[in-house]
Order: sequence, then C-alpha cells, then structure tokens
Amino acid sequence: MGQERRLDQHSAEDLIRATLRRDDPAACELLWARYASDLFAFLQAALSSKQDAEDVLQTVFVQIVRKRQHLAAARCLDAYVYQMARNEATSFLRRRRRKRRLEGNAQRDVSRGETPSDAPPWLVAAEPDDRSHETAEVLQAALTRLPPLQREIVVLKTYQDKTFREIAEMLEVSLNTVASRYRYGLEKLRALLKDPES
Amino acid sequence: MNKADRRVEEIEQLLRRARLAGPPEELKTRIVGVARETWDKAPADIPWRVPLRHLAVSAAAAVLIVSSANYFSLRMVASWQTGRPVATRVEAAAFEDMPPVPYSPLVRQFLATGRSSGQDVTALLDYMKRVRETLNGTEQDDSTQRSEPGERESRLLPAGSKVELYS
Repeated sequence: MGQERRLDQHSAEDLIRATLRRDDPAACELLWARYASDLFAFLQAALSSKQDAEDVLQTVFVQIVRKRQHLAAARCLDAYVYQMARNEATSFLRRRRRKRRLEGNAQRDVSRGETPSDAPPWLVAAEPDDRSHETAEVLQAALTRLPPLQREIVVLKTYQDKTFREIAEMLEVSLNTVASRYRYGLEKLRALLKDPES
Repeated sequence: MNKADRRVEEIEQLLRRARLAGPPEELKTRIVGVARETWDKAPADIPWRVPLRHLAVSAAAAVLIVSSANYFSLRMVASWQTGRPVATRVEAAAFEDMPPVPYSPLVRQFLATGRSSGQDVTALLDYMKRVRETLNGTEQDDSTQRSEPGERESRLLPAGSKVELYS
C-alpha cells in the first residue's frame, strides 16, 4: 500500500513538473490537489491556528507560482514546497511576535499554548458527539503546548498518516530525529493530558 | 508489547478521536484564484537568468567598492601632500651630446637608467670619466699583452686595484 502511494506521488510529481515546464496555469489546480491538505495540516500544526494557516497557505501558493520555474527544476518537489511552507510559517510567527511585542500584548503566545477562545478550532472531533468535541478541545490545547517540531511530527504522523521517512524528507531532519521526537511528543502529551498544569 | 509501547498506543488512540480541519472548499476557490492571477501577472522567472543576475550584481558591487577605495585613497594622499615642500625639477645633462664612448649603447642605457633614478649627475659624470680611462688603459694593456693568453686578470679592472678574485 505504501509502495502504491509512493508511485502515485511520483506520477503526480511528474505531471506537476511537466505542467510547470509548459508554463500552464492548470498547474495551480494540480498543486492544490497534491499539496493543499498536507500543507494545511502542517501549517495548522506549526501555527496552532486555522485562520493563520489559511493566510499562510495562500502566501505559500503565491510564492510557488512566482518561483514555478525553480520548482520545476527542483530535485525534490515535496522538499522544495515544504521548505517554502516552513519559511513562510517561520516568518509569519516572527512577524506576529514582533507585532505583539510592539503592542505590549503577549497573551497569545503560541509556544505557550495560548490561543484565543474565539478562534475556530484546528482540531475537530472525529465523531459528532459532545464527548468527542470536548476531547478534541483538550487535545488541541495539549498539542499546542508541545515544542513546534514535536507538534508537527505528531500531527503529520497521526492525522496525515505520513511515515517517519516521509516526515523526515518533508521537514529535512533525520529519520532518528523524527522517531525520537515523535516518542517524546507523545510522552509529553500524555503528561499534559494527565496533569494540564505540568 | 512493553509498557512504553502500550502507553504510546493509548495516546495514539486518544489522538485519533479527533481529526484535523481540512481546507474548506471556499479556501480552494480563493487560493487557486489568487494563484492564477499571480501566474498571469508574474512572468516565469527563467532559471538561467538567476546566475546572470547574481553576476551582474556582484560586478556592480565590485566596481562600486574599487572606485570608492580609489576615491578615498586619493583624498587621503591629497591631505598628506598639502603643506609639504614640492620637489623641484633639475634639468638633466645633455648626455646625447657627449663624445662617443666605447660600448656606447650599453653606456647610454646605463646613463638612461641612472638619469631616471635621479642620481647625482656630477658624480655620475666623474664615474663615467674614470670608467672611460680604465677602459682605454685596459685596451692599451691588451694590445701589448696579447701574446700572454694564460693570464687570469680582469680586463675591466684597472691595474693595481685591490679587488680580490674568487675564481
């Protein structure tokens, strides 16, 4: 199954490359179909906010279109796209921190897991019942308190069904780092769920 | 399955009770629309142009650095020169009007070099006079002693000079 998925990914990559080389705007839809879901998940995990993820996703797509010829010539399409998304997410967080510092309003620090209560949740219940909704809220709060890399790895592995190898390629870290951070992330998550004050 | 693995599985099961909010359909319409608009506005950046652009920028920066270095060094030198005595130019002796000397091309070259290096002209003329006398004397000696080829004396050194020979 994993092999089939890899083959599909390769053929999708080839198709995107060919469309980009032809300078065909239809590549926008192909890029969306190939990357939107994964990038959106990654950005939600990185920014801990659905709204911010939407804004940054748009910026990433605009950047991809501007640098489409570089993308067509890139050795690894996925790595190039995720590198762009990571850079955009980092600069977005930096801008947000600077803005808050200037405003003297540091109550929304993502690294400390504080998100505004009126913001739409980025983690939703898998089953439409009250208990699941509550669980999703608790999980989101706990995930937000994880260090960024651990959070990204846990989200990509759990919710996007990525393998450790795929995550390592996406985030450009070693396989061992991905595996260890995943484990540390789950351990910390467990501790946070047991005692939210820890 | 050990205890740690069991704990990991428990937390994974708990995490699966939630899911990520996927990108809504209106977001696709918005982003793809913006991307297509950007596509139409921004011409494709051809990859081979990028190194050329870098090269042009580097060349411009190099020219700027070199010209500013020149400009500031000239300014520095100009500030040193102000208030200092200015060197006066002395008319050079008319060496071309001198009577012909043996090995004249060599001597002329030597004089020309000496002139450019700014040596004392009088001392140079005295030296030339002595060299000429020595050479004349050596030629005379040579004509009288041509029958003795075995002697190992310098032809250029005057007789009685105290220069040691190391050969």
